[in-house]
Amino acid sequence: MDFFLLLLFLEFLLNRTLNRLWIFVPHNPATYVLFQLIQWVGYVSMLALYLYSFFLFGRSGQRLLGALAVALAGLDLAHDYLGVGVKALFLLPAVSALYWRSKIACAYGAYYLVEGALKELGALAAQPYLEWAWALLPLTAGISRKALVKAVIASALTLTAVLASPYYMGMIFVFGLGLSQVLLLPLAVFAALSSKSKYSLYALLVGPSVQLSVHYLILSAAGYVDRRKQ
Amino acid sequence: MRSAIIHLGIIVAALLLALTGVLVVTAQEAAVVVKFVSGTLPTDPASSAWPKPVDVPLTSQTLVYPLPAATDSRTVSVSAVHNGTHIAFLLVWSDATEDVVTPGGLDVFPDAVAVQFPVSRAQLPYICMGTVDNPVNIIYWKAGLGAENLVAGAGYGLNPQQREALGLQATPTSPVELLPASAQVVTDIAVYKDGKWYVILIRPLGSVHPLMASLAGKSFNAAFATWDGSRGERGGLKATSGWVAFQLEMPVAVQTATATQTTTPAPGATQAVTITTTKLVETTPTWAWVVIGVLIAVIALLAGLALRKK
Repeated sequence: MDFFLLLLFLEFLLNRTLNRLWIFVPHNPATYVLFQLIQWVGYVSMLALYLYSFFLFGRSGQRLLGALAVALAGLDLAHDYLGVGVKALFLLPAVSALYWRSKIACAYGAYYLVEGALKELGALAAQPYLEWAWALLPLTAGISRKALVKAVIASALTLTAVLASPYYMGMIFVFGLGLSQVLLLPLAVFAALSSKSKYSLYALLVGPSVQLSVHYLILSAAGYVDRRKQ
Repeated sequence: MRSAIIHLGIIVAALLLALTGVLVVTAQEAAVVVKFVSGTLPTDPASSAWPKPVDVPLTSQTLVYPLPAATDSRTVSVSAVHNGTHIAFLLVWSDATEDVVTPGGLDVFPDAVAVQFPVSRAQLPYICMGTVDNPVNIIYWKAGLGAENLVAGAGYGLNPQQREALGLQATPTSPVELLPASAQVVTDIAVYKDGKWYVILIRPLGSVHPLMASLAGKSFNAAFATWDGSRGERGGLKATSGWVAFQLEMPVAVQTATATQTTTPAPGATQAVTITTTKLVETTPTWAWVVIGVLIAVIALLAGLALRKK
């Protein structure tokens, strides 16, 4: 697992899943220390992702894209803290995909463009339908035969977990990924792990509904990471 | 070796930012803006005072049998306004049949809607009506019966003395309980027209009971549920949403300044007089986060450019 993906995995696991499920854990001094650790590592991972995404924009040498990312992040912060900006970071994955010239980055760029626009319009009702596209998009890069066994095992394990406990697993993925149809998760895991491109792993961990501004930055920089690996 | 140093540098920089409490990442979830209106809140669903609604998707419950069809998808359109003291929600959803119950009637399952708020803001409660240590406050409206202000999750975590002090029955009979009469402060207006329910729920922004959620401040969360009586839906058989963020529009913020003035009226005796003044001021912009966020981004970008492999 590369460093960028590891940070995203930690952010998903600690920042979006475990700390929100802490209501089920008995409160005592030991669990409190563990909770603090989860909070801090999750927070540091989130900030590291913010820094590393911009670092990767710089490293890619795409100055215009980097400047656009800074401008959109600034406008996003200005919207939340000054009430004068605009939340338009959802444009970035689509624009960056044009630089990386990858089919899968373009597909996800278009997906997150629609997802962000619908959110801006308040049309949340379309989200459950969009989740189907999110789950199947990894297939646009083609299936890697070498990864098939691993993908089948992982999706079978996910399916077992979801079927064994739709109640808790449902909550985990509603919280962590913003995925309302949890039975789509095994399909999404299979498609992402069997895909020829590793970009789909970033989209899998971000989820069908973006929850933090840094996720749009990650999705934009992931195209560069994926291109370097190929 | 070079990339290990870069990765370590990123972690150290992020740790330093975390230790200084930097907030440069924003939420991207769609939020319902609660529009500020001065004076009386609208009581007509067709009023132009209501802002553009947000369609909140509802997912059919997956806990109680018979489970609804997997393809069953519903939404509830939500608009909200506030006037600084009270908040009004306009909830609109499609329902082909008007199922209204008469008080005491047992022949009809009524159409219904509920809005759930976290009692505590420390952490979002469990979406399925909270837990003992993190309860939820629910407004439950039933066609023909009106709205009730309820609490869920709290009851079993309280001893009889605490329950009595809170105006609850000595022994809980259900995880969902009616708050005492003094907390029944929700007004409802309902209209059924062209296959749609239009329900307006008005409540104080603040709380009038320890187990009632206060919605005052910049933001709060709420979740929704609807029941279609003609399908036999009641209790746990319902369609529910996830938590939805609400942001209160605040053209001006109320700032309260408290000063303590100490005077000595007589030798040996000290009298403390507390003077509280309230004035309207412009909301203070937290511009620092914007500047810091952009600066960090530019520095990281330049570092990436500088360390670029030729």
